[in-house]
Amino acid sequence: MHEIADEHLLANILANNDELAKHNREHFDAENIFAVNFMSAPGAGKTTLLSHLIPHFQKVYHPAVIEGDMVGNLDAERLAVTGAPVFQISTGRSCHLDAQMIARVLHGNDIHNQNNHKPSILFIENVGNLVCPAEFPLGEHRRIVLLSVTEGDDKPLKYPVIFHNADAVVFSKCDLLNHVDFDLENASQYVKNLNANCSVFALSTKQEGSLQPFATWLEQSIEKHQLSKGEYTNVHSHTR
Amino acid sequence: MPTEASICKIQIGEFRNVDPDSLAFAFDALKSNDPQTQNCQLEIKMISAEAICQSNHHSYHPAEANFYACTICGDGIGKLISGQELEIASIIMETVQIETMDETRKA
Repeated sequence: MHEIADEHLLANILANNDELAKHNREHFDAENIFAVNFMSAPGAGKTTLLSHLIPHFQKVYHPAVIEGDMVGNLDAERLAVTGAPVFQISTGRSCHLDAQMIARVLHGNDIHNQNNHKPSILFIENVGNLVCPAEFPLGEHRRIVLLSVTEGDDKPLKYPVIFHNADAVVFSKCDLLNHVDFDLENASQYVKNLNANCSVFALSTKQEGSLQPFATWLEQSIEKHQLSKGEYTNVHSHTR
Repeated sequence: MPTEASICKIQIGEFRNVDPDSLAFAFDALKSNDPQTQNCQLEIKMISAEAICQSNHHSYHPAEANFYACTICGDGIGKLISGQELEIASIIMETVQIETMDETRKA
């Protein structure tokens, strides 16, 4: 005898992660924390970019970092030099951060630092990977993907999911543009094809001033969020 | 009466980073540990992506062949209306009839 248990089950396979991501978002909003998830392939320059962004934001905000790596704490040590609190997550064999890992950090630490009155910005540096991090929302307010010019301008076409889900794409190491076959116009067009609403920036930490448009975009994103405190929507939801 | 899962139907959208062969491999490894799932067959349905372009609201299939741009006007994706599914669509359960020795003798 056969019977269909529930023909309209449509159960989300990653529902546990998505529920925890929503929980993290509530945590962030309750504590006035603006969370930004940085994703890229290994070596695209996430840590170097953060080491320049943190001093910029320390003037007005209370920056903190969650550093995701499979092994070791080299990046966390580099960022701790800025004076910002850095919370290391060693993922072991896992190639991405998930919402459970972030929830553990939030529940065990005072990220906001209740003694200061500045709003907090939490930089989450994901594990270097252009595939899996796209599948695991963390509750972040903005998703940033870095693509260094040494990787090739065709990467948005090869990893469409992560670029489609990004709020902003940063082309990094642009001081090397004259030495590599990376067409900025093509790369920008591919990103815009995948997500017409995505903001695109080209910068180099070696070129002073080139970070400013991206930093301004982040500041404007924080201001917009503080005004709206928009409802959390899953990055994979069709109504995003 | 005891039940066993006989078929598990999964839907995977084209805009998810999920490889059907890898999913099937993991499913087979997991199902063998439980008598209620050990005979369960996995059926995977791939869902094609459908996008609405940002400026002109054309419906199109975003694919690498057209650089994911609208096939009518060349604009980018404003919204995906399908292709992000990752769902268990249904599970078919089988009720297992166990005949007792007495019932067998009566027959």
